[in-house]
Order: sequence, then structure tokens, then C-alpha cells
Amino acid sequence: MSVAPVFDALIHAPGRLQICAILSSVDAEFAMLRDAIKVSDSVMSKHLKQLEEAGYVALTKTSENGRQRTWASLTGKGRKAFAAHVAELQRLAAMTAPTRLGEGFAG
Amino acid sequence: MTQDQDPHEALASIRDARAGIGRDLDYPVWWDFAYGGVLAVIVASTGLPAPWNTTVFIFCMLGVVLMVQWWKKKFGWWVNGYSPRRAGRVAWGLVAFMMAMMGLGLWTRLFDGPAWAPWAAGALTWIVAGFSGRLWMNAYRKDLAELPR
Repeated sequence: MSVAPVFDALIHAPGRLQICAILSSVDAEFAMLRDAIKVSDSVMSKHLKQLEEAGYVALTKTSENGRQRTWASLTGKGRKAFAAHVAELQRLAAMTAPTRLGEGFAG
Repeated sequence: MTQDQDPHEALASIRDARAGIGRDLDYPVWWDFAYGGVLAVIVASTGLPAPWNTTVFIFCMLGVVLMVQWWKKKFGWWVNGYSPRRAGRVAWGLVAFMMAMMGLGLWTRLFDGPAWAPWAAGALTWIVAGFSGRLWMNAYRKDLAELPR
């Protein structure tokens, strides 16, 4: 099934794009996501809060040995928005050649 | 990475983030033995009379739940509803194999087939399911290295 390409500025931001990429295939715990995209706890919290407010991510809190863990998963809305954003990136990429290292330097 | 990453950079970062999930994954061999073992017992139990077959099945499901909890605690992720192409083929192949093996067990229980059939089916399932777990993970890694479909 093809998806209509739609650019999504909320998803496109670095960090959130990677979070959505990971959650497109697995449900993940806060610490795993934070380590995967190499950001601080506060930055990760901010990203997840923004995605949750947009209805793209569902957060579930579980208690384990007295320690609270937060799990994130993409919602149906988030999955559609991410697929549409990827389709738009592919459309744009097809129109432009990849940037090469050193391009633009005169010498 | 900058806020205004171009489409090529963005697509590369998506591929990289997804591939990173399984890249350095090193899970113990006992997982394959346990996974194959649980499926083997489910298959072999089809030869048992009621209510033992149902009782064994329930305990096996509890075993699966415990294994999933262990994985989630150790690695911090678990597969969701996303349907990977290559790994999906491996999973469906295992399902087809298990159905055939369960047929052997039912043959014994319902049609007086040989008593060894469910045990043989269980033993075969242990081996095949144990290997297919690793095969599935390799296929899943390849699926993750691509853009989502």
C-alpha cells in the first residue's frame, strides 16, 4: 500500500526522527531510546512529550522492582504520519543528488 | 546533525537508527534452547489427553511471557506489530512446520497413531525452532537496515 507523501516538521527534527524510526519497528524503553540517539534524559523527555502531545507516541509506565520504567510505542496516527514523512523524504531525495563531501570548496 | 538536514541525511539517519536496534545485539544461546523447548513442549503436548494438553499449553504460554519479560528488561525493546518482510517469511515457515508437527501429535491422540510420534515431533521442533530463532534475528536485522515500508 503506498502512502501519500507529507512532510511533518514535528517528526523531521533530529532526535524525533530517530525516535520514530526506532519505534516504527519496536516498542522501546526510555533508557534504550535515550542511549540510541545519545541525548540527555531531559532532552529525551521533551522529545517524547512533544510526540505524545501530537498523538504520535503512546507512553506506558511500568513498575519493576520499585523502579518506574517508561515504554514508548508509535500510535496508529504516528505510524501513518511517519510513513508519510518517509515517503516525502524519498520523493525529495529522488529529486536531488546526495551532497558529496568537499562539494562547494573552491580550493 | 542539524535541524535542516537534507532528505538524504534524514533517510540515512532513519536507516541508521533502525539498524542500530539489532546491530550489537548479543543474546545468550539458552534463549534459543528455551524458545525451541517451549515450542517443542507445545507440539509434543498435542499427543496428551485432555486436560493435560491444555494444562501444559497454559504453562508454556506462561513460559513465553517470562521469556518476553526477561528480554524487555535486558534489552529495553520488543518487536511490535511492524511486519518485517524477511523475518516474516521465517516466522510463517516455522508456523507451517509446527502445524505439521502438531498434526503428528493429533494423529496419535485422535487416530491411534504411534506413541512415539508426538515425542519425535517435539524433538524435531526443538531443533528447528531453536535454529529458526537465530535465523529470524538475522533476517530481522536485514529488515531493520532498510527503510520502513
